[in-house]
Amino acid sequence: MVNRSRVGSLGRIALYILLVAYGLTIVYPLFIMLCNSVKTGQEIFANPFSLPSSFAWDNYSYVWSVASFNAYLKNSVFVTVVSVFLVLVVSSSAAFALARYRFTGNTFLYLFFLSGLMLPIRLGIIPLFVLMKNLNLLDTYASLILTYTASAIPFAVFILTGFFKALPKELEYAARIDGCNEYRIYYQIMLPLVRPALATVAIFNFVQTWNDFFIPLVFISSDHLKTVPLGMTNFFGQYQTDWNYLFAGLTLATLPTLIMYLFMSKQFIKGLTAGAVKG
Amino acid sequence: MPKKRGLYAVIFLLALLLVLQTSVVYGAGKVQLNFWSLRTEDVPAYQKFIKAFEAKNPGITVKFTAYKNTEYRNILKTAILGGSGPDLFWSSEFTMLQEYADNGYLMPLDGKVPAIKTNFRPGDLEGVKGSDGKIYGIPHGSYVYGVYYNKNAFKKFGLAEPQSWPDLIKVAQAIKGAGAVPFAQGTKDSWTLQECMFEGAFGPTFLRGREWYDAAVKGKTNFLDPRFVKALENLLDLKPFFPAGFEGISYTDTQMLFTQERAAMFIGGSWEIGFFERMNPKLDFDMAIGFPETKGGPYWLATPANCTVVNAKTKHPAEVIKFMNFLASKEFGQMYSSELKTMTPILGVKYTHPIFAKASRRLDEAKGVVPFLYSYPVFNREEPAGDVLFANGLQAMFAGKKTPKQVAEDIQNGIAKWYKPFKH
Amino acid sequence: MNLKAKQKRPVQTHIVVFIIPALIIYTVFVVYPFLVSFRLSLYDWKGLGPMIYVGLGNFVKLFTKEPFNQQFFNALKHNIIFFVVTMVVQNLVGLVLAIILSRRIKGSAVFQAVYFLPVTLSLVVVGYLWTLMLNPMWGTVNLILRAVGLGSLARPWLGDPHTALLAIIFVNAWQWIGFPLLVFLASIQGIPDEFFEAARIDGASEWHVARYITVPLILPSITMVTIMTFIGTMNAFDIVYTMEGILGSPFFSTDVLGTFFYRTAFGTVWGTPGNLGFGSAVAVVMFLMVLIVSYTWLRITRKHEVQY
Repeated sequence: MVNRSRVGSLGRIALYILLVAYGLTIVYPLFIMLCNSVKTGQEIFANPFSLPSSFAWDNYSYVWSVASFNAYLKNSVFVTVVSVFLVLVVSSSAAFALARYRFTGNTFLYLFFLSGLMLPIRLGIIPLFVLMKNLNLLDTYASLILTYTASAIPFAVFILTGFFKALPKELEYAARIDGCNEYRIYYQIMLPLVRPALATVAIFNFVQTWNDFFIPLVFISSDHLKTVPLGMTNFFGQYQTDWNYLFAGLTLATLPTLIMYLFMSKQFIKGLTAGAVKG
Repeated sequence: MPKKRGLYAVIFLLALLLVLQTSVVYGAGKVQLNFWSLRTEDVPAYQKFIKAFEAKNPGITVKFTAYKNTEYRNILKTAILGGSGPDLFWSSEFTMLQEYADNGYLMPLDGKVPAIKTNFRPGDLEGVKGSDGKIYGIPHGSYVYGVYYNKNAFKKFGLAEPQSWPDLIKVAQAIKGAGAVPFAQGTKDSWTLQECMFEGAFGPTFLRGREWYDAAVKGKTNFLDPRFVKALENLLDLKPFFPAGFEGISYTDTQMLFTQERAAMFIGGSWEIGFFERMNPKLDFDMAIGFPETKGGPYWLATPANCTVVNAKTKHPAEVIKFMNFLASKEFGQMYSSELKTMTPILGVKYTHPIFAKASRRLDEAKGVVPFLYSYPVFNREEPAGDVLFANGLQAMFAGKKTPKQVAEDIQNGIAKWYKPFKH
Repeated sequence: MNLKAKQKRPVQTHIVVFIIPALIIYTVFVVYPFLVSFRLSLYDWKGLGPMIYVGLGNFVKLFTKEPFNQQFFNALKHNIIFFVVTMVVQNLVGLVLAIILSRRIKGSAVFQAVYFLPVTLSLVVVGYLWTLMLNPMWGTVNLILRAVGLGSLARPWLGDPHTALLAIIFVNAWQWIGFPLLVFLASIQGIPDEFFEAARIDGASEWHVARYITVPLILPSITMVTIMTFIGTMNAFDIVYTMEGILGSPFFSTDVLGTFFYRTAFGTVWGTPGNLGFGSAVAVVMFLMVLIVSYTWLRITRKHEVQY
């Protein structure tokens, strides 16, 4: 036993070194991004990995106002918030029905929703584009919101159904005896109980929607409707790229999620893992 | 249920908001032309050109939108298919132009833009013709390819501007002998090999302009022709002078290497000039253009141009044509070249930048000036396509995975799968 | 059971109200475009030209005609490598880290938070930053190798056909490792302590505890993560596209089905226009493969799950 614990303490130190070293590989690239975002284009070219020799804050002011990042940010926030909200509303009610009622076609519907987990939206982009065109929705927020909502439904239904299923049936029976109708059972009794799962879905979709650039790329052509990741591509030229603005743009695109994550990492992680584990 | 109803009300309002959003109303009385491009770096310059146009043509506004180059074709195609395409748009010559023109998506410009006849060399219009021989585009920016060199480094090593291909190799040897990196080139981005080196800077002279190409198109020879294999072998002679790890060096890295004076030469197109000057104002560089077999011998150059084309379904044909006439004018050519620091196929434009003046002279002295021929116009029509075969083949050749002969065989076998004159 | 049986009756209004919004949005904007893709896969359609019905011709072409079949199987092989290597460097390592962090480790919460952080990043950012880190000349990876005397291992990671795919898989794992790690960790924390205590009193080694207690008890999570990894790696696209372009450079050594699909459907930037019909056929094949494998997998593993 003595022997083992000595090995244990040495091993423990080695273990910590490894854990910290791996942590550094995660923080370091982000740190470089931050450093380069305040360098001039020339300095990035000369020393891409050095600390900035001076602070060119005007990269940010350029990206923010001239490259209309403020507008992109507003669009991203609007599209993401509305999409996530819609996903929560429609998926939680559908999941509730699938989990709590037995009716003809239940299993089929559940599998029907689930099969969407395997459909990457990219593969259906051409018909989707034509559809949006026919609905007269091209170049609108709606095209983005509907696509994001639709493609998030499978995951949301999957996670939420699992959660609703796990709730004890007694609650429902008791409520019904008290004279609650089905809508109230859903909204006032069951929904509050699956809050962690709602958080999972919200966070998962928030991250996905926020970072996506493919959908707006195809659907949005007006500059004033672009989202952050799409706006960022303005900095990539055919032959020339303004690195200083690009890095400032990347940093600004990363910061909102990063800040949210730093403040709510517990919720992010708890939500995500709770969902996946139950599933 | 009142809460629930409130929720639905909110959703409904949101939906309404979104639907309303779709009916965009533009300023009354003004015609707005939508102009799409893939040159995000040109946006500020085009806004200036458009201002100049709008000042003379009240009642017309032009909205210039640039998309990321790698996605441009995809977006454009989906938009055109969906019927929401722009009024006019950027197109590359040959393949892309013909794809649209031959399927009836472009408006022919013959007779509508008189300046086409007077302001361009006939050779420069080859790439803007559809298979029916009609003209569909106005060529704009054209590039010249060559070898940039760092004047200070050349002075330090006692070297002069290379005048021929053997000269270039000698210069590279001298630089390498002195312990420096001769070329900034990397092969991670395969298009640089294909476009800048093969199609642009060296291929036209190796293959004597159209000589081999015209025979190959007719099926009289093919990619196994010793002339073609030799061209690949020649290109491979440059490999020893690339930096260590060149397989992983991207195009951007090469720009970095040259502007930071870590490599003495850079093989590329004339669009770099403005960028190099901006990235390192202290850099003293010049460009060698055209590399004959012997000093003073004949050489060929390639100037691929891009063009602007008109959507056949535009709702404002008269206004678009006005704008196209503007794009074909000398006034535009002058503005274009001085604002974007690049060359234009529009004749009569004066170049003040010494490198452009030189390029202009070298074009005049060349035995022939060709468009991008070898992997694009004809050999790119079906799968497997010439550009991919070239790009991958050259990359494998420089990585030492294939010999020039094998690369030529791969290209031949690929194209022969669908190109009828190669099927015997 | 009795009550449940009673509930099984014709569909009631409230059920319809609950399900219909999700069903409509999902059907119209996900399923319908997919069905159209199925239909498109029967046509030769270059987008701007006419649509020509070719029956199963696209599928025949995909599996039998060079170079399409070569490129397809080459890409498929890379997807399989992607999956297998990701299982090891992401999920196995994630499992080991989860076991470590489930023990009383100081700062466990901080490690968890940091390791999970890249999951929240945009792929454009990840691909872009790692291209910089892996640069052969000034990239940090090679600098570190040289600094610790392993200079001979330094290489142009993304330009060497032997290492490019692996480099991308590692970058991908770097981004996603937090996910399996925290899923496993939560599962492990859900195992009643008595199991571990009993085993340790019996003198079981760490390995035995992991092998005979931890892993069997978190098998549902492992199955779940495996399937998600499978779906994710079969549909891999963005990371390859960002780091190696649409051709899966160098010379198709990182080409995956996602890039192959994109190329066949939309063409390359300067080259052939692409064929939307043929591209749709590729999409259909990809979808069927994922569907069949995941389903079979679920069927098999469901039987082996341990209840506690």
